[in-house]
Amino acid sequence: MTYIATQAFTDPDSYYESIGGVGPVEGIITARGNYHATLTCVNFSRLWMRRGEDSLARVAIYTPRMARTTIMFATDQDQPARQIAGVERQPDEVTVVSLGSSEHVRTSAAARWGAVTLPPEDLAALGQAISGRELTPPSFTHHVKPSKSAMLRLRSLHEAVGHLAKKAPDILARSEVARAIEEALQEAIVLCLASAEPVHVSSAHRHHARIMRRLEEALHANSNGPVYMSELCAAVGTSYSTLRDCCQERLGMSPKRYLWLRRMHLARRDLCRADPEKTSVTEIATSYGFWELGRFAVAYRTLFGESPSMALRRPPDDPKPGENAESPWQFIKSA
Amino acid sequence: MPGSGTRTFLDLEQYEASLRRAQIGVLIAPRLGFEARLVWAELHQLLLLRCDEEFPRIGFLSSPPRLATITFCERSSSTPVWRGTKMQAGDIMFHSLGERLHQATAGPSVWSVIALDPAWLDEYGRIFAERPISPPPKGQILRPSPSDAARLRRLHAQACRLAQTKSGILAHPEVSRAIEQDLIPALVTCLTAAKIQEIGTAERNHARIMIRFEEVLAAHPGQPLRMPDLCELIGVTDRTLRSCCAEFIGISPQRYMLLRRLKQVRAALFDADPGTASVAELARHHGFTQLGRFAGMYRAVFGEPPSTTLGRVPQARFTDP
Repeated sequence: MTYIATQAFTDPDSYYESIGGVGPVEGIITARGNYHATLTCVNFSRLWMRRGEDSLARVAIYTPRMARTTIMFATDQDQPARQIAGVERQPDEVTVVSLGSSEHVRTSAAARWGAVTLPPEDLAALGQAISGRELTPPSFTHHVKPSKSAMLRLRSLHEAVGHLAKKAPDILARSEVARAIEEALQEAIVLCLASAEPVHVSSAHRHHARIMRRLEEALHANSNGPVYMSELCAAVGTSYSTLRDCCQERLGMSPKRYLWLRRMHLARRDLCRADPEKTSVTEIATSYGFWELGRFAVAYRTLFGESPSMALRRPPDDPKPGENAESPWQFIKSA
Repeated sequence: MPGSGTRTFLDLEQYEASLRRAQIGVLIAPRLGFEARLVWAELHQLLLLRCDEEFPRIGFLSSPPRLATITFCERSSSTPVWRGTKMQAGDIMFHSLGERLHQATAGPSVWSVIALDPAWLDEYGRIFAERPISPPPKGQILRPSPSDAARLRRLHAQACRLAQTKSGILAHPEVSRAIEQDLIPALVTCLTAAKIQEIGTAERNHARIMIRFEEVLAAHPGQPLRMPDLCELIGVTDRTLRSCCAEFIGISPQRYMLLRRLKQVRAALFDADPGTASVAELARHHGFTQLGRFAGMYRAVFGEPPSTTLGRVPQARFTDP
């Protein structure tokens, strides 16, 4: 059985939640403007793919599931460079995310991306069979630059599947079609990975990666409440200056700004979900430590393009995850 | 649970009692009248005080014995003299635990207090300055950069303004946490990046003499001490004591002792039963033999005749904090 879903979003949280079947994703929008995103999810029997597009610069934190190797890439060449784990990546590079890591993917503008995940043992077996090379998942996230032809093949195949999922999901759902496409995708992945060498990762880079992972764990442990600088440093077990260097490198902003953005987004989430009859902007703002309401309203409007009171009054219009189709989570449970 | 409040005092004793509730020991000799306002905010880890005094005074303070305490002068009509040193705008004092010192002001002034558990300060030092911070063995006068000093002042004043005008908002745990978390790095920067003002040996000796002076006075309440006896008890020459007093409190030792005795009479007048006690008797008991002169001096310092103090219905003597 193949799971197919295509969705459009105006709420980043729902978007991230829907990607989440391949591993938890969290994110923070770092630019102001109108947000919209689309997502295509196709889960074949072994290989799962995601194809997304979002309109604003953001930092997304992706933690792959232990049982799956993730390969990420830009779906076309005509895109601004992205930063993955603090290092600028060109659109012609493919990222192989290590198992058990958490990666910050930062974009500076609208982005179109693709991802494929598959069990590591599949990758190993396919590597032997197709290229005669053992493709073991890396212990640290690495980046490879595949040959032009291999990259083109992966991209066009990925795009074709995305197109089918949107226009003719019933065809894609046919088991023989699905099997053929899955095999073609597997082959394209292996050819991409086999055609390139991994780049060297410095020990400082690894040290920063560990700090960033602990940072996200600390934030995750308090996912619904504000976290402040001193608490974050204590939880991560590092000094402010180290954390500041890491965040500058990986997130392109100070940790203070990052925590502030996070609080703003938490407030926004509550404003969009709350019942205007039962709660007030003041109540939500103060519960995230914003006590100067005038300043909060100005900052909110600058960031989200609408006033907090408008956000509170507006009925939630975003499709809840899994509304148009079976939830990816349910699919995973039943599979 | 965070809390905050503000209170205006017309009685010096209540003001002192409130400061003592905040673990700040204080003995104030007013020099002309009295009116003060105390704003306090108890956040999660920080205790903030803003002491707004509308009168010139000499205070003998002791900082909390178990809290790291930082004080600074927020605003003053004249240069305040703390522990014998003229405090410049932006200077802050980082006290040793339970430090005793004199503060003298020649006019209205506002001074601020930030106190916290030393264990927290230690941790915040490691986080924001990469080294632990602990209260110094001897109190220090620090001179942060003007921008660092201004930031600390601004955040402290902001919290106190909120305590004064919107106490309910500050009681929200997330609001007090946000404010506190802004204040902490500003405080650490002031404590670590500032220049420490050197204290000379002579200054240190003088500070010791002044504390000894207070100890002797405390051990001899009631009757006035004669200068030769006083000097012998302290173990200094008359000249040294005079110059120390001029430096630390701006008045002669005799004048200071007189102010302290007047204050003792005042406390006795408050406690006495107006039906049975007499002003003359209480004054005599504290060494004032000429009643007319006593009444004149009393009135000049406290702004009311002693008989009014005696007849006044006592208000609640202890108030929050």
